[in-house]
Amino acid sequence: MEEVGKGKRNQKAGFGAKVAAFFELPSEVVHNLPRLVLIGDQQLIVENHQGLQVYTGTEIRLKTAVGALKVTGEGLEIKLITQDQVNIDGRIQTVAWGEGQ
Amino acid sequence: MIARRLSAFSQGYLVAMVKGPRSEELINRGLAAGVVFWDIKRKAPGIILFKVYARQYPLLRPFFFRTRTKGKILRRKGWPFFRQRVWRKKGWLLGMALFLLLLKSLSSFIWFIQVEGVEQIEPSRVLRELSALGLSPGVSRREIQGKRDWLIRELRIRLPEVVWITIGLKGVVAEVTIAEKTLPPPVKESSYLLAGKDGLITRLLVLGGTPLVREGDTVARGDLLILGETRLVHLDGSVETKMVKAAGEVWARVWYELEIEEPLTVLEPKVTGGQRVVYSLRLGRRLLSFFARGQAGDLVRQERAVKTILPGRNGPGLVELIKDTYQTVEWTAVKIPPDVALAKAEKKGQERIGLTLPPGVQPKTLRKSWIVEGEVLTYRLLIETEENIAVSE
Repeated sequence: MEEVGKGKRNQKAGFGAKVAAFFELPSEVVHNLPRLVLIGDQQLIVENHQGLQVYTGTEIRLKTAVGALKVTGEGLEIKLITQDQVNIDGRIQTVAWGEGQ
Repeated sequence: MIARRLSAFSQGYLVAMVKGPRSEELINRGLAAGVVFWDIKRKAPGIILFKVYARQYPLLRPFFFRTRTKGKILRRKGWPFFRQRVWRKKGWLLGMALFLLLLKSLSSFIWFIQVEGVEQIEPSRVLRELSALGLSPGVSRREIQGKRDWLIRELRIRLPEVVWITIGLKGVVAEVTIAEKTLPPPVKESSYLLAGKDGLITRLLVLGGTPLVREGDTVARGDLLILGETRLVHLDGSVETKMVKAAGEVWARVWYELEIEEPLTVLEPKVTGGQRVVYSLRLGRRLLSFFARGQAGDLVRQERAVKTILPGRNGPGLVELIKDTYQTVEWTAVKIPPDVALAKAEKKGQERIGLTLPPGVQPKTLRKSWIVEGEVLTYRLLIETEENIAVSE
């Protein structure tokens, strides 16, 4: 049942992606994908996140639809966090996708 | 962000702390409940500081228990909390308001008057006059501002020694700046105007002192014309004599008489023929005669011609060539016709008028007469002028 279910979801996602591509719709809207805006190495704005997993001064890990987003740097601060958006300030060194959700 | 900060200030917000290993979970749960967090900082491992709207903080309370974290409000900020704090200190607020009110009301009065620029006049006198006009400590600024021009005008009348006054208001201080007149030195002794010439007075112009003559008076040289005193008659009848410097003009008809004698017979030299010419060279002060020719008699007339060879810096030339011509003459009497003598006399008379009359004075009338007595023609001029004959003693 799980295999069948997974197959249906993949089919559905594939169909959705095709429709979005056909109508030139933004993927983050259609698939609820995270949207990242990195301003230099000082600010990162993440939209469509799904929660905060880890927060230290050197690492912030956010849960997203495509996996964990790992941000490392120095003096990291969350200037604002709402249900949809996170603004991170500080000296950002790496932005990487981690495993798992 | 500014809009959010303004909104947070107006609504009131809290600076709170969450402590526990599952702090991030608390934030996630808060987010799910619609809570907005900002300025999140990791203070220490397991401790997160954050800011949150005051009205949203109660939504977090159940999550503290569920996530086994502890929450603590560190500071309450924003307008609602400020208003509460101020309202709790009503007495202080009232005192402050009263103090400001008192300060405002007291600063609307003049409390000090400064007088500047006076040297001869006593500042206390200025203050007295100002007080009499209504400007004294304790007077309202508004009242003074309204009649500032009037005050300046009246003060100038009351202080004749003053040439310029201004009144400036700076806070509670009225600054009165005064410029004093530079008066001439007081007259210590009287002075007089005397007649410089004989004459018949035609008009008087007295600028200072008391006149002692009138139009039509005949005065001789040295007569007193204007006395250096004035008399002031006061309202009580008393007379005050004040010494002044006599000043004025006294115009009078003045006559001058000129007499010129012109001889009708003159002796003139007549060359008889003998002549001697001497050439000399002058070197500085030394005169060297180096050539002479001819003979002259005892009675000679000398003519000298000089040619400068080397001019000196000052005075006569340093080296000069001089030619002296001596001619033998004899004096012979020559008769001059009376009309020629009269013409000469008239010419001399015109020259004498210019030397006799004061500068700027022109003859008003001119009477001429002449007589011939023996070998002399006497020419007389009677000149009438009108001039100012007043001279200081």
